[in-house]
Amino acid sequence: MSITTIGIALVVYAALVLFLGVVSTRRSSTSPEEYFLASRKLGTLVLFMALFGTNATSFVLVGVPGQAYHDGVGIFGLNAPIVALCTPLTFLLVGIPAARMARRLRAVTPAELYAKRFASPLVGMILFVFFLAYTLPYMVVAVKGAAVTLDRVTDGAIPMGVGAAAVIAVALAYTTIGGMRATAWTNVLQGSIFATFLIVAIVLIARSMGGVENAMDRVAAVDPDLLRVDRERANFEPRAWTSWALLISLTVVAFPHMFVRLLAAESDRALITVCKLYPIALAALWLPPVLIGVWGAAEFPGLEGRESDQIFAMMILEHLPEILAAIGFLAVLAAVMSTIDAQILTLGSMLTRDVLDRIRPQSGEQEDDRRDIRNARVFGVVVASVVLVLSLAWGQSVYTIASIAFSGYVTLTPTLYLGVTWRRFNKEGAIASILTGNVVLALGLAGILPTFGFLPVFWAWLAAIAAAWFVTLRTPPPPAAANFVAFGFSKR
Amino acid sequence: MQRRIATGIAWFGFATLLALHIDYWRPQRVIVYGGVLPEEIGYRMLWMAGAWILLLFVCARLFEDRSG
Repeated sequence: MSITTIGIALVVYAALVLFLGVVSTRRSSTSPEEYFLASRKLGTLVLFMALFGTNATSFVLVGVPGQAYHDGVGIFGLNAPIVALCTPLTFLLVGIPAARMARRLRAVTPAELYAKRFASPLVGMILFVFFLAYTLPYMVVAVKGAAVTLDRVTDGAIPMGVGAAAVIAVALAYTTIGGMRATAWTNVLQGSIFATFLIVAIVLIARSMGGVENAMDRVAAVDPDLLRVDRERANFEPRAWTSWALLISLTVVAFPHMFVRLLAAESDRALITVCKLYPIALAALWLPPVLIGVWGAAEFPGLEGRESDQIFAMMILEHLPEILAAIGFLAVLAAVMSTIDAQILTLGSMLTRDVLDRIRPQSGEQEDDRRDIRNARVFGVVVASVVLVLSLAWGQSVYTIASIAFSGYVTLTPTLYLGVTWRRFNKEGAIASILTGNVVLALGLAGILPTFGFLPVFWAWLAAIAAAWFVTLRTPPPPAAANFVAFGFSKR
Repeated sequence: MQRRIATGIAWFGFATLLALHIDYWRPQRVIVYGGVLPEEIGYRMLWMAGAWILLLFVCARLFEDRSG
């Protein structure tokens, strides 16, 4: 694809998202609650697109086609159905009580919510450390995906480093300008771009390959096992399949950048409506990338390892006219930016409110508010810079990096759920749960603990639950007054 | 419908879907219906339709707007 076409597409896209960012500034700088949570006023449509856009990243558009290239249609069954059911369920079970509690406690960040719930800054600090540790690799996934695609579609004219820097710079610009409201509104645009593109692309690629039937015949001719779940493959072995189902179904709600969007919901009703729409959106989101990867195995056989991360770009370049291929590239950018903008904002807000505000004295409400927003913007730049360096240095495939980050998030889910639903759950239990889960995960990933064929996350999650229950029941309950403030009149 | 019954139905639906997701009993064959739909994808899409119905039920019966 010519560098001119890509350049024009990039400039138009950047101008659009920056315009939305600027429009959002009219209301964004008045208070931290407005800047970080859009004043908790995200209605159904914007909330849906914000969650959907944040959920769709280069893991889906680059990592999934890359993995389907090797493992076939089983990648769809491995991920999409269980995500379509469990992600909305976790939004209901964790998101709704968390949003209610955050309104009562006036908490703005996930770590701040749990710090206030347990009346323990230490819990907030520990949560922040783990959120940071797992979000950085996840951001690297997103940026790498975009950079790989950009490198491929320009035939190396825009190398990975420049592509990664451009993606981060644009996302950083509109995020720091407009905060949560800007990221939510840009997500509406970005979600529309990649959802529309995916549907158009799969139709045009099928037609270009001589129809779906012909495409399937070609796959069957190259490797018929790509059209079934081959239990001999490592990903589909029963214990790996079961533990991956656990991982992929629980991880989304523990993304801090997703969690914070749940806190920004205008009402319970908005969130419930989003949950009703989510399975349909996820089916539409996951099927085209899997088919593109599988058909790509017939079109471009012989790619090894992480070379297959380029299959999405290769297929759109091969089968779509140049202008549509350029839009396809924008779809990847849109998916990436709609995730990293939320991540930059969330990490910036946690660094400000959960770390900096804890270690230096407050001077007065209005001045503190202004300082919080200013600090969040500075931290956003710092986080983005670290991600840029890591994305150039880290050599693993998109799918592998994402798997490690997702496992880490899952170890936090017992604390996130029990913290907003179980009155007896105390800070000792929360700290024990987080630390135990992560130690078991680290030992499992390092191969020190036997995992008996399951993924390490399976044991880490069980250990986190056991530690939460065991330690909580052997230590004093939380103070009744603190519980009353956190849970209100709720009996749970 | 009583909340307790609705909760029971939701749990039953969830457990059933989970059992159908972890489907090692299902023979893994290369069948492409009509030449266009691999059996594996058709099975998963049906499963997702079931999951959607369960979610609609859960949202309607077990979660109410208490944001005031």
